[in-house]
Amino acid sequence: MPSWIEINGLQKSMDDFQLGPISLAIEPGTITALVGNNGSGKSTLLKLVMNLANADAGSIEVFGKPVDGKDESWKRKLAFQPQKIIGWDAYTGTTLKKMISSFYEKWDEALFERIVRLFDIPLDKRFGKLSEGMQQKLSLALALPRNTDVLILDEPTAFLDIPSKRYFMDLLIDWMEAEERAIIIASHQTDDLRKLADYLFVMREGKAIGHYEKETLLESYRRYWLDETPDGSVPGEVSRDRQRIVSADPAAAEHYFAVENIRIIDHAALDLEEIIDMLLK
Amino acid sequence: MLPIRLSKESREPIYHQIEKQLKALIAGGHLTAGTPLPSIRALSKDLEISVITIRRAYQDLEAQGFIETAHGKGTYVAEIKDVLKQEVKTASVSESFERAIETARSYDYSDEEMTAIFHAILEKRKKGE
Amino acid sequence: MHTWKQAYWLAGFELKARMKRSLLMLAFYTAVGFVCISSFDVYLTENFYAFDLLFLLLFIMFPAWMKPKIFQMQKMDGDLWTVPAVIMLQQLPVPKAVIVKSRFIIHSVYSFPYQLILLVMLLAVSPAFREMITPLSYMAFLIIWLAVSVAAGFAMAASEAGGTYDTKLLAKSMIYLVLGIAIFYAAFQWLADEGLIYWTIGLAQNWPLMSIVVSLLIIYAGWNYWQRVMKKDIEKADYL
Repeated sequence: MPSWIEINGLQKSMDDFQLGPISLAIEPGTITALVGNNGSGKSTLLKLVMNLANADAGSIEVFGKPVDGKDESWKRKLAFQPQKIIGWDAYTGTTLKKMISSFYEKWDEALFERIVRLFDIPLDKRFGKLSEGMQQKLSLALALPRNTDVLILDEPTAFLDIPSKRYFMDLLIDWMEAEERAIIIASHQTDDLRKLADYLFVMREGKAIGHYEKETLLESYRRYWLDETPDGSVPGEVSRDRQRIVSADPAAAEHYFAVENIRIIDHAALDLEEIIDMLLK
Repeated sequence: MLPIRLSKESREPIYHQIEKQLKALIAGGHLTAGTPLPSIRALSKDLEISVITIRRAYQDLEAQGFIETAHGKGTYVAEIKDVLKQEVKTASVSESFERAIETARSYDYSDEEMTAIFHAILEKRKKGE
Repeated sequence: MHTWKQAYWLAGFELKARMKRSLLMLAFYTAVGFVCISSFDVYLTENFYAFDLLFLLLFIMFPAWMKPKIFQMQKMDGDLWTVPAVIMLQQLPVPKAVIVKSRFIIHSVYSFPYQLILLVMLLAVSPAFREMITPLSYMAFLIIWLAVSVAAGFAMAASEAGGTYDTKLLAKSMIYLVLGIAIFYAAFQWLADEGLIYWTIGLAQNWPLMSIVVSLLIIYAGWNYWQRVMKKDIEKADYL
């Protein structure tokens, strides 16, 4: 399958921050979560994809077109919801809808109205006068109905309450079902979003830690309770608490235990949050 | 929603667990031929498993003739032969026995002791009925 | 042509969003302009040099100040300065050329009507000016000043592309700008031995047709030049 978005060796340095080199490909039909702490460079990466800034090195192609090229038509295939929305404050929801919907051929008015009803969004109030949660709901209502091939969301649920988050996830699932599409979600929160993702792209201080398929990542870590404390270091050892050891290479670790004649009393998988915490440390 | 329960503790790969449980549901007659299955994305969300894994399970099941995909209409349970049904059932029963035997072995039970327990359970069940 | 149509349509949103306030501001700045311009007679008869600077201020800076604050240049994250619309529109599928044109349309709306009012007011408040100028010369004078508006004033519109500026650097460049204008003005006074407005009146009287043609060329060149500058600046800037 050809990638829809292809990032190669991307680098960008700012005052006190260095992003990259980052390489990442987004395939149709997938949800990719950008995972990292605040300041890990997720937003910068997404803004570079939107060509809001110039890279120092490397390339970004969207549907085969370089984002910094003369042809700007690729932007029609992407819907971008930034973390901090700039420029909307003076307009009401109705005005924003009129402006934004005009750019997208496949704008789904019925879906827009459905989301507005679902979240009870006041459309006649200026954006700047809405609460942060309501602003986030309105920007979602203005993002999904664009029906672009790719949806890019930067911290879309930071201000949503739990029921709204659940609605939001159902909306995303429905949206993914309709056609061959892709979503990129940046999130530093430990919440269900990651459960929604097929791939996790983990970043720390501007560097890519890894790009994992979710189950592969889950299956690559294991916690063991042993009948004695091993003397040497266990293959793939990530953490140790006396006889309790976590390994990022279960096959090699189990082979080691067998050779060393250490009995495994019990073993268990780690959950995603634990693994991410370890990766981000 | 399908009654699928995944064990993340198990060493068995997730896609394999999904395949096995769906096969059991089909062979056991809980899912009859023509029953629509949830979409890959919907099942992915319910089970909190990536679409890549679900797709792999569905593809395997389709290759083995348990399900069919009609283009644009989704995925359905296929008409399967009784022989195949029988195979799945036998495999599933064998697996449960194997697990029981493994537990017994870890407590150093002999074959005779195991058989005795097995018969005792059968007796008890008969009385219960 | 399609580009202009789209730019016009986009500019409409911003212009409509604060229409009432903008009209009020126009009335206010017209009143301020009227008070300032009342001294034009004094300038003409007694070489009141400071009036040139006052007029340049009215002509070039006031239109930019008239814009509602919410749409003006402002500090974003870090050291990034720009108008919000430039960021907003880049996040939508709007070609950069359209963004530039929509900013120019908005600046035109805040500039030209106000500047025409000022130029017409000159006639109204100054009997000395009415006496010394013929209709054709007045026409030339008007177009000369519209050329000044495009050549100098639209640098303000182009600067809306913004970019990452250190606050210290920004303050320094403001000081240089003011110094530069002062030096230019002093040199002009010394060389021409008369005020800037006086000089333009002279041009309009002595070579009215030539002035009109040259001014129209300047308008055409300036209008295109500043658009190219703004587009390049948008491409260069990092909106992070």
